[in-house]
Amino acid sequence: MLNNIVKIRNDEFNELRDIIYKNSAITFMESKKYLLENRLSKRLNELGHKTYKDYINYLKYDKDNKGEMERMINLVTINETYFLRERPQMDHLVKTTLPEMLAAGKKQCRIWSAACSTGEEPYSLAMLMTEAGLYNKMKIEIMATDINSDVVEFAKKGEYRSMSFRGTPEQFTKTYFTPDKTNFLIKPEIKDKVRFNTGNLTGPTIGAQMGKFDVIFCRNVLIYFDAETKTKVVTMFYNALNAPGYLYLGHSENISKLTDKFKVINFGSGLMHTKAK
Amino acid sequence: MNISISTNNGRAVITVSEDAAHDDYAKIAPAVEQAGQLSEICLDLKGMFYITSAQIAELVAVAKLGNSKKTPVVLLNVNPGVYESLELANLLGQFAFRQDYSCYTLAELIDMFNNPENASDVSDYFVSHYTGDVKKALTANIQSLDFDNPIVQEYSLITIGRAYDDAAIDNIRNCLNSQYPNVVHSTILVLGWLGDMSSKEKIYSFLTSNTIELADAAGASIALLSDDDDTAKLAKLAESGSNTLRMIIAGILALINGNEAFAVLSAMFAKEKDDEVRKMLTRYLSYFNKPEATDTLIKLLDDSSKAVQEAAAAGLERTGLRGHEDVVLKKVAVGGMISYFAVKALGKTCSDASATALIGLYDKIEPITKLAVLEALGHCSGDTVKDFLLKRLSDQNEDIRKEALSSLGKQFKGVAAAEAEKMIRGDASWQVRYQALEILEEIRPANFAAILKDIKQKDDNRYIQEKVSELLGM
Repeated sequence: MLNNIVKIRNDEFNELRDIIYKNSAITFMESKKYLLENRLSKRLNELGHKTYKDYINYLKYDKDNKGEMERMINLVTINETYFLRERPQMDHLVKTTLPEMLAAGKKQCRIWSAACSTGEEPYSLAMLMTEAGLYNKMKIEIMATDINSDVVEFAKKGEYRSMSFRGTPEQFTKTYFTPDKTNFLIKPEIKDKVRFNTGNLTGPTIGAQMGKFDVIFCRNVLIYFDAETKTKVVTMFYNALNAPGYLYLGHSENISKLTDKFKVINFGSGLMHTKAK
Repeated sequence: MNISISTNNGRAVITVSEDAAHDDYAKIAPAVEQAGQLSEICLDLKGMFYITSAQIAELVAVAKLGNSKKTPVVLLNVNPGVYESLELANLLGQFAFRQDYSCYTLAELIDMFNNPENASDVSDYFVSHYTGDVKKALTANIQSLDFDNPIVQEYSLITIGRAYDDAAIDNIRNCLNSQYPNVVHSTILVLGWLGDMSSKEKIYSFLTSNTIELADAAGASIALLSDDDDTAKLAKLAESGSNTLRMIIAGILALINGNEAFAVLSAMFAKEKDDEVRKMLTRYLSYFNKPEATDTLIKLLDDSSKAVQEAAAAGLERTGLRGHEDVVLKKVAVGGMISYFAVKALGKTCSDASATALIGLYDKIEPITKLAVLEALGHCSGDTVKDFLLKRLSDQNEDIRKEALSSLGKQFKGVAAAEAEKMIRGDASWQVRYQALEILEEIRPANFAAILKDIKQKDDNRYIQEKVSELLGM
């Protein structure tokens, strides 16, 4: 309540996006100005700042601001996510890709949820694979990473506010979560199926650190990188995948001009990029 | 077809696909010539995710065509990959950029509700283009609780509510029974916007929901639906409620904003023990335009809690000081954000006496408060202030120089123009140079065009380049 959207001026936007780039390597296009306004206005209201200039000065000069820079970066870079977001791709993995791997004689599967944010994506995968009975048919390992140590800690706790369930059927919530005051705790049988770690997708050693995977999910992340970084990350994914291997990106993340190594499969409600055998 | 061209109301819209080649682009020039006088040439790039250097050259050719006809060229719906390529080619200044949802079909737009980054914008677009087809499609999305996409249902509801369309009120009310919290959340808000008094009691039941977002939405809607009886009802609820509920109730009272609401909020504050809640109550007190609110905030500047002191100082910027300048001035030397907000509150009506006092304190205060002082001096006149600001233009800190220049620009335009010209040519910080450019833009000295052309050639900062191009109409 009483949280007005604070409009950002061009010079304020330019300075703030420079600050964000220096601290996270994430670029904000001119057309994403509204995104900063939407994500930071509440914080400005909480702090009593009426303009972004005031907030930038607070970031730069208040000696008691207790990690505000990190908080701001988190606010603008953490993907707004929720359980079962863009479900068709998850369903494609569970109903098509994994059954095909099983049919081909594969008995184990390693999945990487890259840039997992607060963990909704890897836990959703674990829940859907449980529903489909896949854990009884093959050994499945889910690794989940994010650059931000705070969100990784959050994900490890597995304690979610209700808005993580926008778009989640009530029955699903009842089966896999335990209500606790205003929060919902993920049940241990799902929590134990995901291993979380911090990891920077643009770092030089991430590929070697993570090992080989059969499936990689990295959705709505590449859009924040410049072309050079995108190419680097997509190449790293290619090298990290077994052959065959499957890469699921966000629905607006077309990499056809960055690399021709992947074969693109359009399954109607989404795309999958395949590394051929 | 890789390119399609249409003209409407003197505007040409050229839709370009990713596969468009030279032969396709060659169709643009004759079509533009044939169209006669145009207000703008728009290239819709929604279907283009990446762009080759050959295609960039084609876009530049269209920019040149527009330039020769003195018609602006606007790139519509540019995807990030294309934008980055244009940025790398240093071509952002050649085009205007705009998101234009009229280029999309109704189904494509509804699908965009699924993307949190676009959803609000698409909803805005629908509200301003609320045709019969839009109404029909959105209403269809809220007719059943079994609708399979709760995100689309949420934004359909929000859009219907923002268009104040109550034709489907029964369906909207029914959405309060949805199994999806996001759908219930938007339904509560929409029923408040539509003034649906018959839902008020049910909305009250969400105030105590374990789902904080639902309780918060219920608070906002109850405020909109409130009448004389609600203040007393809220006061009673506050007595037995949790910390969260008390903060929500305080927010409702601030929105109701009447005399009774102020009395209840003041009574709540008097009884409140929890510092986090007291901080929020202090914030909400500042929403009342009443001398009593200012008086309370002034007293709270000496509260035992630092967070409450800061909230009170920030609140005073909103309420105004109403004769309490001297008390607030004493807080400037205290340090921390209290000093900062005290200066902010003083800044709105900075008197000569306050200006002199702030200048006197300047060397003893922290950098963030120094910046607030420089901003406050932008509301003051007199040679002392002018000289003080001029001296700060050679400060080592770029933000100090920028703020001092900005304040000079507000009160001392003659001096500011000369200083701005010096700084745009010689300051090491792009932020200071950008500020100088804005001042020159406002004052428009006789040699403004010459300065711009010179800067265009010499300054390699992209933000300065973009601004200069915009000012030169390039």
